[in-house]
Amino acid sequence: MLRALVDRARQGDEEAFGALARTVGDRCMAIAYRILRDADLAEDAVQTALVSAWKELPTLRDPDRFEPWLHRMLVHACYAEARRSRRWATNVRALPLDGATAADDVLTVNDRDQLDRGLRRLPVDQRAVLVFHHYLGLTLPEVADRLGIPVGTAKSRLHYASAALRSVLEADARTPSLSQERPA
Amino acid sequence: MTESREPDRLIRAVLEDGPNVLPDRVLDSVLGEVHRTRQRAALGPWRIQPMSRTALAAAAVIAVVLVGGLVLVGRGQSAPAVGTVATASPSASQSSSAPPSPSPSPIASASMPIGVQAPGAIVFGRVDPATGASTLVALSPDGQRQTPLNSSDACCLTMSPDGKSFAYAKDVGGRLAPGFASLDRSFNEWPWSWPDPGVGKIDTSRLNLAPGAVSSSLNVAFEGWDDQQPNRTGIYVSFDNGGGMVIGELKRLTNAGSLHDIPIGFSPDGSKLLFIRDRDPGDGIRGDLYVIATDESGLHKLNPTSTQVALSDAFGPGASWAPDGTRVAFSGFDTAKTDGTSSVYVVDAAGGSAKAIAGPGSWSTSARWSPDGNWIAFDFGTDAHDVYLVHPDGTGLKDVTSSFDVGVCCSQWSPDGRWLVVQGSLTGRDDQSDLFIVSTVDSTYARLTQEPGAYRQWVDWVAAPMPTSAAPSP
Repeated sequence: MLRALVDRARQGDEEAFGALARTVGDRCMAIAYRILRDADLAEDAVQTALVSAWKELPTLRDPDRFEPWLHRMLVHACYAEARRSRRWATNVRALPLDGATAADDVLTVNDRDQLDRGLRRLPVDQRAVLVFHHYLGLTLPEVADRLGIPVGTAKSRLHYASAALRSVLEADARTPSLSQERPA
Repeated sequence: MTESREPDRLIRAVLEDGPNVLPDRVLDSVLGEVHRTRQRAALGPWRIQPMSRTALAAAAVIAVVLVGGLVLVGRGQSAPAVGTVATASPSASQSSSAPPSPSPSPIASASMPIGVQAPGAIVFGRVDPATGASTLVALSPDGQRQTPLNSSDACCLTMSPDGKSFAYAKDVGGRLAPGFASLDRSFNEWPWSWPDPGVGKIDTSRLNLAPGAVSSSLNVAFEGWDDQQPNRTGIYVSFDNGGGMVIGELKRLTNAGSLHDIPIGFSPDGSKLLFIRDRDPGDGIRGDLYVIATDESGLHKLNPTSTQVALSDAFGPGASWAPDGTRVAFSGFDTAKTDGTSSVYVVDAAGGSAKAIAGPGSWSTSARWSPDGNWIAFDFGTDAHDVYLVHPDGTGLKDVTSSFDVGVCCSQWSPDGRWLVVQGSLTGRDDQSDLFIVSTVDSTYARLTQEPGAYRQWVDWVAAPMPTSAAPSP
């Protein structure tokens, strides 16, 4: 199905590309948001990546590689958005307030807040490796292929990112809570 | 407590948070843009695929017929615009004193000469697309020597008029902090530290400061903003305090609410500043062109209301000063159209009506006045994006890159005015570019870099000699 749409889109079929974009758009949005930690920037990155994909589709040699190929464009678009946001954006994030999420049985609100801050402090290239490895569940060679980097580079980025987030959690664990500081 | 939990499990859990659906309005926007965008045919500054000379000629003929027909339909019997170059046709160049080179060669040919013997140094930021990091680099015009100017990610390379020093910025704790260094790397200061603010002084502790212009007296103009207080957005200028150090008194020059003002150049005497007021930061940088005196007087807009001027790290500013400081050249996008229709204008720096000297064409991103004041270099393109020269009065139009097989744009003049360094894409991708040198006398050209996969920002050609030391300083 996907292959057929890619083949038609490569021939300039806009309708097929529309169907393709609808098929892969949600996954792209999920990836871009988790790399950029900002919904507006993520939407911009996905839009950039999809339009680039349309323009470059005739250069795609293997239609079965469409999604990895698109993801590489998406990551580059995320890098560009991240750099642009450093110059433009007031990056204020509203934490989710409306009820529990699927992750709530694992994460406390404090954990989520600390990890989110830790993620934001990571370089965007390290965030990308984390997302592809932990969120998409890809192996490191697959991550390296998807990002267009050597496996060793993917491994070291994952190592530094994981270490940074572990230190965030450990520092948090060592910090007494406000309630503990208050006298009984 | 979190110590007993598996960190990787927590990381996976926090990554589950967040949107998983692409809004329909984004999809609609994508499909709208797809409808307006041809595959393999750039709407941006590059030609997507190298074209053969035959294909180029055929495209030019078709474009001449189509554009000519549209002009006649749209304008009745009125005269064509001054210096119209909306096609790849070199016909306009026939009137110029120096005809383009008749010897085309494939742009990526291995036999293509590398670099030329010319004065000064070419400087730029080399962007690694895998990481997005930018390394500042100086390259000799003969292509033989390349020297890094810094050792880590830096942005906003801005040269002093004599080319002996430069301002830049680097991230420190999520804030862009400026630095200043000499090209020979005998001096480097980063981050700049201003004294604690006193009464009436500016608190720089949360201010992002991205340099955009350096004057001959080493005053530095910054695009400034505070991530927590949008009302602090504006241009800030560090005025040399006369003590021999660049770090002078910081003053705020403009205030347009939350709109970003981006400095692009001091007048040659340093008394005025040209800048772009970005109308829509979410859509690249395009806005109105303003000039203001450094004593905060005389703020006025230069571009017609129906136009916008572009600015990009990769392609540079769409405007420049005349060497005598009396006029400004700029490329103005027609705001009524979405296809990149643009013209080149000249306007008195004191204000008044802007005069169109070339166009309309497509996607013009530059208008660079030559060092001797006799020419303005700009880029235009439809399928074939080229760099052109035109006299400030609109005469003498010539295409200096007509023999290129890929699109080029975004020129910078050599200090002696005999060459231009231009950017072109060997791969056809908008986000990849290499540098080429083109003679303004006979249009011969040479490749300066060949590194598909990287692209370049803040390109400039300065008169100062290449640095000799190998160790980067900033």
